[in-house]
Amino acid sequence: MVNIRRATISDLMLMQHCNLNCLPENYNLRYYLYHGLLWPQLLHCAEIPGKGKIVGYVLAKMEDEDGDAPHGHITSISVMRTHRKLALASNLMHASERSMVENYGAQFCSLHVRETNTAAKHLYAQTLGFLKADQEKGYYADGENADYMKMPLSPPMFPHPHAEIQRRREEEQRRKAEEARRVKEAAEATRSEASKDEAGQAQEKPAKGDHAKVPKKKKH
Amino acid sequence: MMDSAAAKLPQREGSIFKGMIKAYDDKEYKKALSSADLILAGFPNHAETLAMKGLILSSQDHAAHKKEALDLAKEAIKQDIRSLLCWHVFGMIHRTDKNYTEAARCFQVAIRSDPSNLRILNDLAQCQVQIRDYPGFLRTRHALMTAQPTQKQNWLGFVVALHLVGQRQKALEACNAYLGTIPATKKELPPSSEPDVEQSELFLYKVQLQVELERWAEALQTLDQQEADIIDKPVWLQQRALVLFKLGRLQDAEVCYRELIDFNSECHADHYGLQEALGLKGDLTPEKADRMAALYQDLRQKHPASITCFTMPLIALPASHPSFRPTLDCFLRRCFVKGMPAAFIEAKPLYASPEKVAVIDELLRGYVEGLTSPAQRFAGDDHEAGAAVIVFVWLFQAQHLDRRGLFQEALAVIEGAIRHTPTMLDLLACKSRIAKHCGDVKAAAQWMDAARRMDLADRSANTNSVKYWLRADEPVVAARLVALFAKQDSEAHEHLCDMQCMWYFLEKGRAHHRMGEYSMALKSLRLVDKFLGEMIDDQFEFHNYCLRKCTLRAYMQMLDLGQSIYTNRYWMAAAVELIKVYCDLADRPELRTPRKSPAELAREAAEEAAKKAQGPAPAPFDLDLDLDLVCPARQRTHWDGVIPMGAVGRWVVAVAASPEDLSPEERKKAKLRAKQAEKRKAKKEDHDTAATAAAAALLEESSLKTSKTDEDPYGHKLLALDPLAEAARLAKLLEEHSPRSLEARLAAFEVSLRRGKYLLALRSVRGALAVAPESPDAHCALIRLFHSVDQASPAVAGRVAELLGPHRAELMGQQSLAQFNRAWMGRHGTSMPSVLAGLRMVGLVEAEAEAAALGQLVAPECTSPKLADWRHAHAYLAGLGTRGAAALQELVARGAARFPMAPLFVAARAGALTDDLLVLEGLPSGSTVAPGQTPPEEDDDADEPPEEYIPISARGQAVYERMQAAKAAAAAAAAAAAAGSS
Repeated sequence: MVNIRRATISDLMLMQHCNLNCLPENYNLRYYLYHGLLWPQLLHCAEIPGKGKIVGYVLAKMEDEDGDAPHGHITSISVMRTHRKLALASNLMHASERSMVENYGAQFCSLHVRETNTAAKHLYAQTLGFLKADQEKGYYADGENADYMKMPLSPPMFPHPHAEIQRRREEEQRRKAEEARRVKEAAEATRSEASKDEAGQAQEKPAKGDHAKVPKKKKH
Repeated sequence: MMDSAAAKLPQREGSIFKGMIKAYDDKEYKKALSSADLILAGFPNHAETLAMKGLILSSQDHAAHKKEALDLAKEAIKQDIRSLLCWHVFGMIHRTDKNYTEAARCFQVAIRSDPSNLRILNDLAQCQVQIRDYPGFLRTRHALMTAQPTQKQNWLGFVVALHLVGQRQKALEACNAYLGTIPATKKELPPSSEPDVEQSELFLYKVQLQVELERWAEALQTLDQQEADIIDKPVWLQQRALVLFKLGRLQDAEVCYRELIDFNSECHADHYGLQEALGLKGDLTPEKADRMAALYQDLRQKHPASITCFTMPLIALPASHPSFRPTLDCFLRRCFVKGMPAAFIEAKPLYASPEKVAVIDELLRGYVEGLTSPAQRFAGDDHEAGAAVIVFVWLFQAQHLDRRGLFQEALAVIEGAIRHTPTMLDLLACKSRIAKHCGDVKAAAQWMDAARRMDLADRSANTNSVKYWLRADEPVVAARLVALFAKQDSEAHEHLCDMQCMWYFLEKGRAHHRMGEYSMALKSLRLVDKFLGEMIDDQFEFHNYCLRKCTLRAYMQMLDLGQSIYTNRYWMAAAVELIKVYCDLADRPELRTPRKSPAELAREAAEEAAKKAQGPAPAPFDLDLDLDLVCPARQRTHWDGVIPMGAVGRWVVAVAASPEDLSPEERKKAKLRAKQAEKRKAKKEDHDTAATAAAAALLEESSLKTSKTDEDPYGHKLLALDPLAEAARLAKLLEEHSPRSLEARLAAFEVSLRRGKYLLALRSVRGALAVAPESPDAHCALIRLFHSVDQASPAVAGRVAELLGPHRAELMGQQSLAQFNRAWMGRHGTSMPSVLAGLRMVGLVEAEAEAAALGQLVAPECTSPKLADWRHAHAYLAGLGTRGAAALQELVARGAARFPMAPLFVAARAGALTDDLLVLEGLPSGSTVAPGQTPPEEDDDADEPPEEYIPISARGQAVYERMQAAKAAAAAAAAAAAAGSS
């Protein structure tokens, strides 16, 4: 009897316990609070009802670092060994991805995985649809490289409940794509036409989001 | 305030003062500090400068200057008690010190001289909410809102404060007022498709308030009107479903629940909601049962992969319902074909009903029969099941038998399964659990360790093994195993502390307590308490953050966690255990003299030996080899590629790759490892002589302490604490936060009784009796309480008896303690723990009758399904010496019949459960072979010294000898085979 649901703040301690049980990458409770209070919609857990036990969880956050489109990032996901083969991981991931799209307009979801952790990589690639996008050298504390994997998320996967908003959203997306195409064309035109103009345009950095003093990304 | 402070100084110093403040704000602490010293040289009593100096020191390095900073701030206040700055600074230093109560007090004084100072108000509010002073928080938040109503945070802070003090109506009004301001600004913006999560959260918070106020119609209105704005759809649907249900619109609620289940079919709350909306809650009439069965038949078709859609009806329907058996049959077959090790856990709730257990039993027999027949298929299936399917059936069957207390049958099944597939981790873990239930903790630990070795990459397997070693009182082995996943060995302890690994220190503390190592037990268990303190402090910085981010629903949950955090079960268990340790220390003061632990003694002995011998001496422990024992070095990390892993979740056998199978990269690694091994060998020879003391010290440090800064690695100083005062603090927290917990009540009782606080003790006893009126422990507590009142000095007894008299009359009538106890024993004669409790009390209140009463404990009708109860009875009788000898003999005979594998009763069977462990031990670790596969070539570490099994204890010695014998036999057989083939 496993119950999959949105996690609450009072689940965080048990999620931490589950993580310490299953994975070598661990965090203190503050880091869980940080996720749970900033992106409460994204955290999900699999519990054994009535036993106060959490046997699986997904800890996720939103990232919109310089230039990147808004996207979700899986900080940690795990399922206790005793509860594997119940499709908990994909159910948890799916629920979190939906919340990423609905609440934050995420365009993709990313994660890091140890290069040699073939088992986990298999899960992400084969079961959950992630693709390797990049490699980060020496990402882990012991010097191991990480594979940076991505999974595209598109609004049609999780259409907005309100038809009007959904229509507007799609319109907006079309508009954006159109604009991007025009900008690209214009840039190409200017480049070919006036390559002597070396001044160039300084690209404006997107305004930084509201970053509070929060713990840095943990790397073990 | 800065100006007024500077005004008290001459112009030159005044400007230095301003410069100092600026430097402080810019975090140029050195510069600020020299300015402060400059002013103080001329004006040593200038209050504000004194205070600032304290603040600067505290900001620079609080740990080093804590006392100096506080002293300076106090001195400053002495110089000018009315200075706002001085009080503010004093509060800030307390805040850095995480003393939020004092900080709030200081800010409160500061605010008196300037009631609209926004900075101090903000600081004050944050401290007040942290210490859960909600009325104070509301006052401060109101002041902030009035002072600066344009700020979002101030509005939301005010709303939250109203909510916290329970004024939900006002909170709702304030929330509406704030939300009313949003559309005005929004309207000017073009319609956006960008999700506005903050607004969405605020509307959901408003709905939450309306739901808490039970204003269902209003809540529905909000949900409907803001449908487009509330973008968190699952929550929107859940709230809507609830509200519609409350409004009696069941069909509409049903639609919502169905939509929720469509997306996530494993959320139980939605299933229960749906059942309720369909009127299927509570006792099922036959008609309702049919509807329930049909509902889930339907849902299963829609969600064929959903497990909840199977388990829900199985739990709800009676075993007699015609659909029960086919549904269960279908579910179990699916689990077995898919190879779900968790099938039994999923089916566990069914064990509440004996009829359902009978059906399971019957089905299992059928499966085994079909699958072991030549056809190898499920009855009625037309195709052969895979070869692995039977293993999962056996795994389930073993757990099924174990659960019913049929340990020997369970063992037979699991052993058969292990013979079939010797490398499957789950089977070994299952056998370990059965061994545990049989009462053989040592065997359980060894089997769990065998399971761990099947997949060294799996931390879950490691965790279980560590836990089982701790339960078998082997903290040294456990410490080294747990280190395999916690950074390097030397940092493991610190890493586990940083990550607040509560379960480990709880189990470790319990092990030390059992082993009589009181100081170490305190050290471990107090860590769990410390972690909880950290977790509470960690909330501080989020108060303002949540208001900015509008995540008010999550914020309310966090504030609630502040209340409920003491109900965390690891903390509760640690607190109860700590209280037991403290009570032991209070009862037996001789325990409080620091006593050297075996580990310490070993180190000292080793040092002495090294001094005396001044030459080569055999190392009592070889750290390197010992580590290989618990985990061969070449497999210590999973990511070094030596053990290729298959798909996650499948029971994949770790197969050592032969050199040809390795990629070039892996081959390089293999070479590197070979080199390291050589180096290690050389180094080992160098150090063999000097290693004696160092190895022992290292060994023990790896388990006991690693932090170089730990001044008290063995916790000896903790023994000097006043045990009952420490225990009283925990007891108060336990009782306050878990009044419905029997354990908490009893722990609090133990403390109060020893402290002579009879009224508190009475409150705890009454609390315990209210929770569990028939609890043997609560019964003991009651008698012990009045017994100690009777025994207390006349002066105390008179006063207390007067107060307690009415309670005694109410609880026991006019009976004497002995009569009351006898009557109770008469009522509970069939329950072993109750009879034992009664006997203990006989010993207390009418010792002369004890011998005659012993027979009741070993009477045929007195029994318990729990081995622990038998163990306690055993310990009690053994403690009586010759007086209890006859009864003990009787108990052992009965125990042996009931628990034939428990070493406690059947000494001859000790080790029986680990016999076939040798078969596994005989296999080279990591090179285990899946059925049907040819054994791989010897792997690449052939030039490493052969792994030796170094015994770690007497138990280890026995296993070691048997293993050596097995190895020798295997070698002889191999030699014979080789000779034969050539």
